[in-house]
Amino acid sequence: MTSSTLESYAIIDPRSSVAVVEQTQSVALTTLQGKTLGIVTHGNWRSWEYFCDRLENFLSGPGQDVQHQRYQDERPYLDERYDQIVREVDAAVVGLGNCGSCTAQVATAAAQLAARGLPVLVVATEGFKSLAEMTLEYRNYPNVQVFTLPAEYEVMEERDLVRIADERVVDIESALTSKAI
Amino acid sequence: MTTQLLRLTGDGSPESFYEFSEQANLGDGLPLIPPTIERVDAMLATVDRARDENIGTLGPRGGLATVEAIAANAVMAGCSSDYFPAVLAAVEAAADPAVRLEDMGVNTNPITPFLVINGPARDALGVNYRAQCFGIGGRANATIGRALRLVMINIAGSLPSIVSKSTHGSPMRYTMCIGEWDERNPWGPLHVQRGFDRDENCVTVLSANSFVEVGDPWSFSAESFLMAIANSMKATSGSWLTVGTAPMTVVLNANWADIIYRAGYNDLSDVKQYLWEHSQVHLSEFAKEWQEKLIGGSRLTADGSPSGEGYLLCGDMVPMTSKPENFNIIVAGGETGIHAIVCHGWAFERPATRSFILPTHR
Repeated sequence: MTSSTLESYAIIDPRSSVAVVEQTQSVALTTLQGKTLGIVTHGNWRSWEYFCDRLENFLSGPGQDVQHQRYQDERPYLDERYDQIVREVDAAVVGLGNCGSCTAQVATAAAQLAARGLPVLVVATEGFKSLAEMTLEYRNYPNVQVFTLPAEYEVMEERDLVRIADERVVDIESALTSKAI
Repeated sequence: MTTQLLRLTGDGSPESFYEFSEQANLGDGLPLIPPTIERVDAMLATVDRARDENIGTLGPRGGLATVEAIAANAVMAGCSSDYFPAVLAAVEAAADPAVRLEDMGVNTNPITPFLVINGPARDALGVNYRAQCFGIGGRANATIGRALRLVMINIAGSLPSIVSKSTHGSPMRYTMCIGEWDERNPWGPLHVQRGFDRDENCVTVLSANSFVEVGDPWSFSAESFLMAIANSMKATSGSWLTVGTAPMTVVLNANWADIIYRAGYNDLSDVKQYLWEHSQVHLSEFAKEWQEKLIGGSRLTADGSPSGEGYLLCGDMVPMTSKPENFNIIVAGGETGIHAIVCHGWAFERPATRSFILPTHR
């Protein structure tokens, strides 16, 4: 090692600091059984429709005691709508983050629900997990979990969409109840 | 807030800082100048602003765009300290919610901020507005635009490939900054169109999702030039079409601007109206699944939700954007007047302009 590599110098950190956010804890959920799950759609992804259908199918199946309610508005989600969702359900999944802008929107919607005390889960494809997490952190809810689907989920064949959805929906409850969110 | 220092091991050479910045995801892939205290201070000396003043909180990371951090990025980009007032104004404009910088930083399409510099500072800083204004060449154009991109990466957190997953990215994301040929815009330069005085130095943040060359050696009338531009705007796919409200920017060469103006298009709104009407595409030109969406679908709103309103069809014609006012018309480029540039925007972003004062004028 030469002496020059032991030298040091100072620079101004170009990253600056982040805004100080107030961490907010939502009510922890211990089980979905006997509860109502909201399925909130932002965006327009074909694969998300399959996932929601299979999730509803699972929640209506044997051994499950979970009501479910879909929210897919033809109008923007306003504060009143978020208030309504929180009144009608005990927890929610929000999806699908499958592009840059929609992931930010989904994470922001989840933060809106979490801010109202609702246990909530963001669903995103693998490539957008880091963006969803960064957005949740910025919106004060770093503890909201991001539940991931394969990166190529949107372009899979129908049979694979159904198969993967069936494999993954069984984990929704544990993801929603695994830690305070 | 105290100065945020990073102490790095190495000899402080450009090579060692380049290596560090690559490992720390601090850059855009090109070599960077180390933002030493002395270099940052030289930037800060050109503005009368507190180094810890927060210009804006930038997403998706929620980074505080302090004057000092912006200066560090300007150094890294290779800016001369003289450029810093323009860089600061560009970040101030970009932080305007109308610009939707956070969306531009995370979108999967290649949208990027597009800076236009007007006023006396254009010449004082050597911002190119003539031949090759979009590159290559020209330190001011190359580094002022790059400084904003580095702010997006380092402060806003739009880390390429890590957080920002644009499917293909764009070479325009390295830098996109030009001057306007103010004196040759017969309708008044962009900053005047936007309510500023001609003698003010201004930066306007526009947006660019595409970069379409209009080459027309055969026309000689205003209508023929305008038709060539309108035809070059036409598309039957594109993320701007899925929303329908995108801004679009036309960069005219000075000769065409003269011809169009002298032909009676003295009101810029007439130019915009012409372009809007003649760039529409018949529904039958679209793929079947697009037709179904355009007829039965719902335009999205600014928060990404369906609007409940259909696309703005004009009979069987599909406008490239919802209204003529979404067009920005500027003048720049060399005097070989057979080219124009069209930049489609994305969706809801709108221009923002900020003025600035050069240090010699303070």
